[in-house]
Amino acid sequence: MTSERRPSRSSETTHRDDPDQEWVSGRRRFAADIAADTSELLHVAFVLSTEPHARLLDVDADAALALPGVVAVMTGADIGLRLFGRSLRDYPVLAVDRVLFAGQRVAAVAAEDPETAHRAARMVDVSYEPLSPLYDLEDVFGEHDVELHPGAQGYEGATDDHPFGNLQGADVVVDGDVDAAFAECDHVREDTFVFDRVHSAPLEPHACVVDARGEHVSVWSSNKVPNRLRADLALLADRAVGDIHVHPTNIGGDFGSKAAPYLEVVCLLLSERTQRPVAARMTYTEMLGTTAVRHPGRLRLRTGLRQGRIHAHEAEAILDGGAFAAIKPRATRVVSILGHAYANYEVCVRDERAMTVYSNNPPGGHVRSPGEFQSVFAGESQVDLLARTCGEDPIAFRLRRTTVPEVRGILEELRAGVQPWGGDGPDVGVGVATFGCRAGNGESVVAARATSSGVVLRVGVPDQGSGMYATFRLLAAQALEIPREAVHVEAIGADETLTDAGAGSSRVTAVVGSACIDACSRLLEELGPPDPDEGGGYWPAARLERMGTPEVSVEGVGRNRRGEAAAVKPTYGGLALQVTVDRMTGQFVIRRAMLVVAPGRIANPVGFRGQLEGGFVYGLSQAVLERLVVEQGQLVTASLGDYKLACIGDVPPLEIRHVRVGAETEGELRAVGELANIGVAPALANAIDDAVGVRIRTLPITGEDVWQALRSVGQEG
Amino acid sequence: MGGVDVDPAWPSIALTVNGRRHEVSVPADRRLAGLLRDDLGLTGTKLGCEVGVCGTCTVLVDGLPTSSCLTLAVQVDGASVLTVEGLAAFPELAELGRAFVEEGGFQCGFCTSGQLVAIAGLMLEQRLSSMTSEAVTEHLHGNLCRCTGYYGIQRAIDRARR
Ligand code: FES
Ligand code: FES
Repeated sequence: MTSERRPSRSSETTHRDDPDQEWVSGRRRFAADIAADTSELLHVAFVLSTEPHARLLDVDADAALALPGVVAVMTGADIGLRLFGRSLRDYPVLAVDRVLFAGQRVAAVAAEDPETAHRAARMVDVSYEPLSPLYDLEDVFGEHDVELHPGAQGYEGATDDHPFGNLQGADVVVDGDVDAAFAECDHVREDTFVFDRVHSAPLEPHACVVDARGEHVSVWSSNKVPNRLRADLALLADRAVGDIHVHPTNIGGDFGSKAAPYLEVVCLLLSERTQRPVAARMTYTEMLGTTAVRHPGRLRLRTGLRQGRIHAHEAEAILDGGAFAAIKPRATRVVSILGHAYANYEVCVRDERAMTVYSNNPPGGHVRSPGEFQSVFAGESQVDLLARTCGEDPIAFRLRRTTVPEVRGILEELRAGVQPWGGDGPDVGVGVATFGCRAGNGESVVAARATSSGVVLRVGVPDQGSGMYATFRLLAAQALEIPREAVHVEAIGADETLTDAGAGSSRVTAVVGSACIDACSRLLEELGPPDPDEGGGYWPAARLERMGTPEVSVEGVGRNRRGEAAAVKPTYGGLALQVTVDRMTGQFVIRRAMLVVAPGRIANPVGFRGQLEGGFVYGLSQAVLERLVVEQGQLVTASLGDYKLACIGDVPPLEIRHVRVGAETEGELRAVGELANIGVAPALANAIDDAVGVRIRTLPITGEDVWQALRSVGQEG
Repeated sequence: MGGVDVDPAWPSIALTVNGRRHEVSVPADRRLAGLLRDDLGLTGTKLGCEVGVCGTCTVLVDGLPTSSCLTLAVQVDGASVLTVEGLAAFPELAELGRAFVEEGGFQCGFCTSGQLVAIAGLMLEQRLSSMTSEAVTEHLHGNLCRCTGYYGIQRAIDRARR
C-alpha cells in the first residue's frame, strides 16, 4: 500500500558547491529531502517521555506493532544503555530504566509512512512510576535527597572532583585576592541578572537518513559535526568507523541545536534490524523540547571602583543544565559565561565562578553565544549603572576605561553616529553596549587540487547555513588571482583523511578559511607565482601544461588555540539603540539601531553583512520575544505558534558601520557569527533606563517588566 | 489508480502541480506538503513548524499563498498548485531570484522557497509594485527566517519591485 516512489538518487558521495541558482530554485537539498528521494524507506517516529522524572516500568508496543504499516518498534530494553555526550557521556540514546525530563526518547517506531509511524508512536503504552523532581535552582539547592545521576562517576568523561550529587560542572577564573581589592574600593555595586530559557530554533528540524543494509552504513544528517557523528555511530552501534560513511549534507540552520546524535544511532540500529533504509525527522515540538536550549539561570556581578578605575570584579553564575550535560562540549560542563563581562575594560582583580546543575528540565546546550549572551547583558548593563552613579556619560565612561584600541574606535564612531538622534521627545532613550567575539578552538585541514579546469577545495566542514562555502571560494580566488567561478568547494562529509572540528563556535571562517589560504599558498609554491594574464584568467591551466602534469594537490591547515600568540584575534562590536517607551503600558519600540564593528579582513562582503544583520535580529528576537516556557518540567511553548521568533515586521532600521584601527591586523580573518547577537539585550536595557529611568535585569525584556518596574517607582503613565 | 474501488483510507485525487496534471492515491491524513515532497518528489517545499506559522512550506493554491503543512492533500483535489520548482517557468520572476543571491536574501536557504513563493504570488498578480512597503512586509509576516534578519530579503524585494 505504499505510494509509488522513484528510484534512489541518494548515492553520490560528494557534492559540489551549489551554483547560485540552486539556492533559489528549490533544488538545494537537506537531509529530509534525501529521505523523500530514497526508495524502500521506513520512517521513524519517537515515543517521548511524558514524565519529567520517573522510573520506567514497562513499554508495551503490542498495539503499535499491530497497526498495519508498522514494521518495528525499538525500546531501551532492546538495545541497553548506550550513552552519548560531547564532553560527558550521560545521555542515553533511548531511556532504559529512568527518564530525567519530559521529552526524553523512550522508544522508536519504524513504519512505511510518516503518518503511520507517528500514529503508532502515540499507541505505545509506557508505564511510569513518578519520582520526586527538581525543577529549578531553588529546588536543586533546597532540602531533598534526589540525586539525578547516581552513577555519574562512571560516565565516560567524568572527573574525580565531584563536590555534590547534582553538579554538572564548575568553572573558575581568578587572578588575585578580590576581597582585598574590594576593601580598597571607594564605590562598590552589586546586581543580579536573571535569564529565562530560549531555544536555538533553526527553521530546519533535525533530520537524518541511515542506510545500514549490507556491510557499509550510509548516513545523511543535519548533524553539524560529521566526524564526531561518525565516531559516535561506530561506538554506539558497534560498527567499525571505516564502515560508516557520513555524506555531506546541507544544514538548514544550526545555532547550536544540531551537534548531538539524537536520532541517528536509533535509525542505524533500526536499519540494521529491518534491512531497510530508515529516516527520521523531528517534529518542531521535538526540536523545542529536546535540542539545545540556552541555559537559564542567574548571574550576580559585584564590581568596585577605586579612584574611578575598575578595581575589583566578582561574578557568580548558577545555571540550570537540565537533565543531561551531554550536549555541552566544554570539559568544564559550563557554557562560556566567565570573562566576558568587563572583557573590554581594564580590571585590576577578577574572581569569577560558575556552576551548572542537573535538573528535570530539557538539557541545556550551546545556543549561539552560549554564555556570552547572558554575561554581556549583565556586564554591559552594570557598566551603564556604574556610569550613572558616577554621573558620567555612558560612552565617555567606557572610553575612559577600555584598553582595546578597536573598542575605543567603535565607541567614538557610536558617539558620532548617535549625536543626530538626540533629544527626540519625552520617554525616548539611547543605549549602547560593546562586545567581542572570539573564534572557538579547533583545527581543520583543507585539501586543494589545481587541474586544467579549475581549483577544487575539499572540506570536511558541513555548510550549516552561513554561506561559508562562498567565502572559501572567494578566499581562494583572491589568493590565487583566478576567477571565483574557477574555484569549486567539494564537501566530503566525515572522513578520517581530513581533520575537521566541525561547524560552530564562530570558528569556521577563521579556521577553515585560514586552511584554504594556507592550501592556496602551498599551491603557489608548486605552481609558481600567479600570472592572471596567462591563459585568459585561469592561469594555472597553462602553467600545468608547461609543467607537464595534469594536476597539483596540496593540503593546508588552519587552527585556533586561544591564548597562543597565533590565536585568531577577537572581533569587536558596539551597538546603539534608540527606544521609545509608553509609560501607560510599558511597551517599547526600537526606533533605530546602529551597529559598529572592527571587522579585520572581510572575505565575503555579502556573507559578512548577512552575519551581522542576522546576528542582530537573532539577538533582538531572543532579547525581547522568545521565552521557552517549561512549567513543572513540561514544555508549554511547544510549537512555533507559541514560541515566537522575530518576523520581518519586528526588525527596526539598522545601520552598519566599520571602523579600521591599526593596519597590522587588517589582513586577518576573524570570527563574526556570534558577535552582533550579544549586544542587543544590554543596549536595550540601557536605552530603556535612559528613556524612563528604570532598570531591567531579566531576560527576555518585556513591556510588562518595564511597566512593573515603572509602577514600583510610581512612574507609570 | 483510476479503478472503481476507492479505498476511503487512501482516496484518489487529481490536481495540477506546476502545470502538470497528477492523479494520485494518498493516505487520507496526508498533507499537501507530504504529497508534494514524498509522492511527487518536489522537495523544494520544506517542512518546518508544521503549524502554519513559519512559511517554509508556502505554495500557491489557485494563486493564493497556502501553508501546505496544514492543508490536507484531499483538499486540493481539482486545484492548481504552484511550488518553488514551478517558478522558473515565469521569466518575470528571474530578477527576484538574482536579487536574492546578490542581496543576501538567504543564508541556510531553508526558508527561501517559501519566501520566493510568497513574493512570487504578489508578482504574478502584478500587485507587488503597487503595494506600499508596509503592505509587502505585512504579507510576509508568515515567512520566518532565522538566518538573515530579513534585511537582505527586503533589499531583494525592493529590487524586484523596481
Ligand atoms: S511548515 Fe508550514 S508553516 Fe511552517
Ligand atoms: S536563510 Fe536560513 S532560515 Fe532563512
